[in-house]
Amino acid sequence: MTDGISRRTFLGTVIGGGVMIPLLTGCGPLVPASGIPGSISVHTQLSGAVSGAQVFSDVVAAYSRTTDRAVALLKNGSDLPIVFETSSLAGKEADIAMVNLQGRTLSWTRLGATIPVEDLLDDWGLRDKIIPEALEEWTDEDGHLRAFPFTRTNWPVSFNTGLLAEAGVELPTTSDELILVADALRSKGIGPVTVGGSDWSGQKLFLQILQGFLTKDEATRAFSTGKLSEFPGAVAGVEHFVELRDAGVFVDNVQGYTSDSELTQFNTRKAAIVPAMSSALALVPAERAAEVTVGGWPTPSQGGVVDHPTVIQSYNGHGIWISANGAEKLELLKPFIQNLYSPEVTSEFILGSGRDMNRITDVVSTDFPLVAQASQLTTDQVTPVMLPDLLIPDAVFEPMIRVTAMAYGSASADQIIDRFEQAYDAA
Amino acid sequence: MTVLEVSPTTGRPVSARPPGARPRRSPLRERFPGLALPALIWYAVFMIGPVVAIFVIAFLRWPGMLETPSFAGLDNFSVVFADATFWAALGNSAVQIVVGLPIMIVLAFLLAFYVVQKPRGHRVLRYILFIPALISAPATAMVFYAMLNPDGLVNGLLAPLGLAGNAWLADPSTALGAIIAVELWSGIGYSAVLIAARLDGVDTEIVQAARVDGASDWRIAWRMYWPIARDFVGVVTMLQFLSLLFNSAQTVLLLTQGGPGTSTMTLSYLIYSKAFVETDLGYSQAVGVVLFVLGLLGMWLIRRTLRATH
Amino acid sequence: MASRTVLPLRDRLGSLTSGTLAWLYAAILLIPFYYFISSSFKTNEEIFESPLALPTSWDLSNFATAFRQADLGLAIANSALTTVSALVLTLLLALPAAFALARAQGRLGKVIENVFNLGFLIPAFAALFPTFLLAAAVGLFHTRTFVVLLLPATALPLSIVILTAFMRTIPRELEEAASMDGASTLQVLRQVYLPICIPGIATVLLLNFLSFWNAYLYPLILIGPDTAQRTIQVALPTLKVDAGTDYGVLMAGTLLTLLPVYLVYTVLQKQMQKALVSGAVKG
Repeated sequence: MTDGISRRTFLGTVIGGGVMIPLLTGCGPLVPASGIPGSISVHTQLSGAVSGAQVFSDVVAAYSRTTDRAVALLKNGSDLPIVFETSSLAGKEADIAMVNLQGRTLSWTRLGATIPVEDLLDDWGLRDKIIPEALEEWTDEDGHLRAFPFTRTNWPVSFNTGLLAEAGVELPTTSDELILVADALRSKGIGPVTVGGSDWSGQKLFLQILQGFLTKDEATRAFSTGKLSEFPGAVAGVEHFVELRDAGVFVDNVQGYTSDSELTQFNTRKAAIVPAMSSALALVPAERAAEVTVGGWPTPSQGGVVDHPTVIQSYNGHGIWISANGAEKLELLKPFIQNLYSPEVTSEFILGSGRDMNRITDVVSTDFPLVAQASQLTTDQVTPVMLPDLLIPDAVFEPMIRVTAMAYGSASADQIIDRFEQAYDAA
Repeated sequence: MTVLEVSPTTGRPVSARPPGARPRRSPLRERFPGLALPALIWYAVFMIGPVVAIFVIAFLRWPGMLETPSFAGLDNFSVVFADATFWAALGNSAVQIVVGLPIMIVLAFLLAFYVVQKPRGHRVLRYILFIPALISAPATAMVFYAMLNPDGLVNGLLAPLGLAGNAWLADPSTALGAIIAVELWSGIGYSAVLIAARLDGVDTEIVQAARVDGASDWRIAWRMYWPIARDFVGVVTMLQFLSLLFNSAQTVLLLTQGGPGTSTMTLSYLIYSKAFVETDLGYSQAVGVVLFVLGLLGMWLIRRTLRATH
Repeated sequence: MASRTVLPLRDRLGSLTSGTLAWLYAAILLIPFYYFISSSFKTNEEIFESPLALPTSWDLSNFATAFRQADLGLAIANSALTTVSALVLTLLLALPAAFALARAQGRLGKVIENVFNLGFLIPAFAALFPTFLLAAAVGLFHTRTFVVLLLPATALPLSIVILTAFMRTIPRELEEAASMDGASTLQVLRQVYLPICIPGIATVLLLNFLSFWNAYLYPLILIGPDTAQRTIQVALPTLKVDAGTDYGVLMAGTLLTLLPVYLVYTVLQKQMQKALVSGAVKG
């Protein structure tokens, strides 16, 4: 190996590089589409390995081809809201954002980062195409429709009946059964309930368990004010949670897990029970899905107000938000958005990725058995409870996740209630 | 320092020639490095400007990307110093450095010493030692993410020994240790290569002579190599100190995002988190000021401790 | 191999321990490599069941998935683009500056040099938010261009220090001879200084290639999520998903990310090590 680089090759490389660069920047796929006139930019959470990402990509590509319009796709995961806001500050946000109603996004319409779309709903002929309950959920207190509801999700609990059978138990429907099942599973070295204690997935389950003791009205007030101590049902709920936790219902170290780890554990048979959203169920490998039954979170054996195991039901999947930048291009956005609500695209999503849609449709997924199971659970089998994301003020969201993470650790019921209320006060 | 030109004929000083005189270089150009101007401007705009801005924003109340900033005086600092999260971050950063840095440098020094003795396979060893320096933070983090997964490699290796089962990144008592381990993994090899290059410069004859006299490895390492390399080791220590203090934010971002709780919240990550996750921009930059001061202090301390004693 | 005198047992034990420790560390360095390379060919279950086993088949599907899901092809192209452009810009800025500083006589030169030296103290990541504001102010937020303009600035302290040191070694007489022959300053730079500085330039290029190619946090915020523009370091972590990461795909993506750097290392290994050492020495 020569010790140095010859002068000629060296200078040649440098000059060559200097010449190539302007040429390369002009090269097709490397050109940011926002530079092309007549283009629109879409910032979406339907990206990467998430179910529906590929379908969405294909739908957009097809649209681009047939209408000969460029569509720039910006992809992010759970960090989308902050990236969108950073872009807003720089005046460069995308025309459309596809993200759920939670935390930061709750303030977007108020702050003017996105525009309300209730007028466009009628202008663009979309009102009769979207499930009315979804429209209701996405409308704020001032009557403004924040975004077009696109995908929706429910959060059933998945039970690996194969593992349950190995432990010699049946699917639990009450909390006492759950504790016995957990014992049996642990004695076989199988993890009982796995959940992402450290992030939003653990928070959802926590709030779901509380709702076993609260009526819908009470729950709405409790979660918007945060004053758990004023609701005996909420206090009972927290105590019930602590009881379950201390009985070993959750896997060890659950307070450190993320939604990523909970699903990996379930998919690799390390744990038998996982509460997860239906879109995650679409990603469960087929041989695992064959031994899985979908149901609800077991009812409290004492003191609960729900008749059946609970499932969080919501229309809060991805919404199609129009930004301040997008408001100047409405004629360009109209056909794109209308296309997303066409029957063909809706079917593609349902059949191709197992996503549940807010678009009124009869299509049920065939290749994604768990998703189909989840969407077909009736009120005789499960009691729906709400997704509290809409009620939690954006400034409280992250601090509350820290509280629920602590709850999955070793805190007492009183400590949890105290910290929970503090999280709301501090905001 | 002006150059006094001596005329070759008379031997007496000649005054500087006016600019434009050819072919000698103009002294004016010598005194004013004009060609450095572009670099200086670039540097001022992209490096110095933002650092000054840190100090400015630290005095503003700016609670969200979409909100408008207003003057806040010292409010941010009082909020910062009253916040438990800040003190947790300070503690974690302190642990990271006080524990991680000495281990890294001492092990790197011993490793370098070993390699410089040219034992069998030392070339291969040098090649291997350098590899972590090539790997970017995201790549390292992704590999460790997979390894530290509750069902990953580390637990897989420990299982036969009966030590497994820990969720290394999820357990508050091991998360910070895991982050420090990642930093050590990449830092020790890199530092060792640097120090070894310096130790290479030490005259092997002296070392041989000492061996013949019966000196043990330990004595040779600490009595001979160390005093010579001390200054340079100080430079390496400063580099790694800065890296641990500032760059480790990337590792935290990629692996734990400060969690569980605040067990891996470090000062540099706090700055990022407060700016780009919680968007409390005044707070974020106030911590930036604190970090800047701590950085300077640390550098000064290291320099004092590891300065070559003449 | 130099001949060694036989040491008493006590000392040989010392060598033995340090030898064991050294190779233990080498193993600790290599095992993750083996792990992630072999995992790239496995499924999640295989990775968790038998982490150290060799893959059962050399199936390349994980690589294809990683490539597709994270748009790695575009990402590599963007990394190459930004790295090369930033390197060229660095040289264009640093070479004249080093030239001027090496030849400067006045106090001003010293001051400017110290200004660049202090650059090492600047806390890189703390300035991330203000840098973002700067990008927004000039309308270059979410563009590669801004990152290409920014990276050389961060590289200037080290590059200028190294190049100035090299240029200082050039004897005055050479330069005087050239200008006696009627060469302008620029020609002196090109014909006298540059050829001698090639090792220094190579050092600067290699050091900065690593630094630019591996840059993560700044491109993450400043280039953003546009797959047509984002670099490979930013693209890689997108394979870690909330909804259950496929570790095989993640490891395959990591391998693809590391290949270019590893190739450059193998070819230019000696130079790289020399570069890093002289970089630190000058620092």
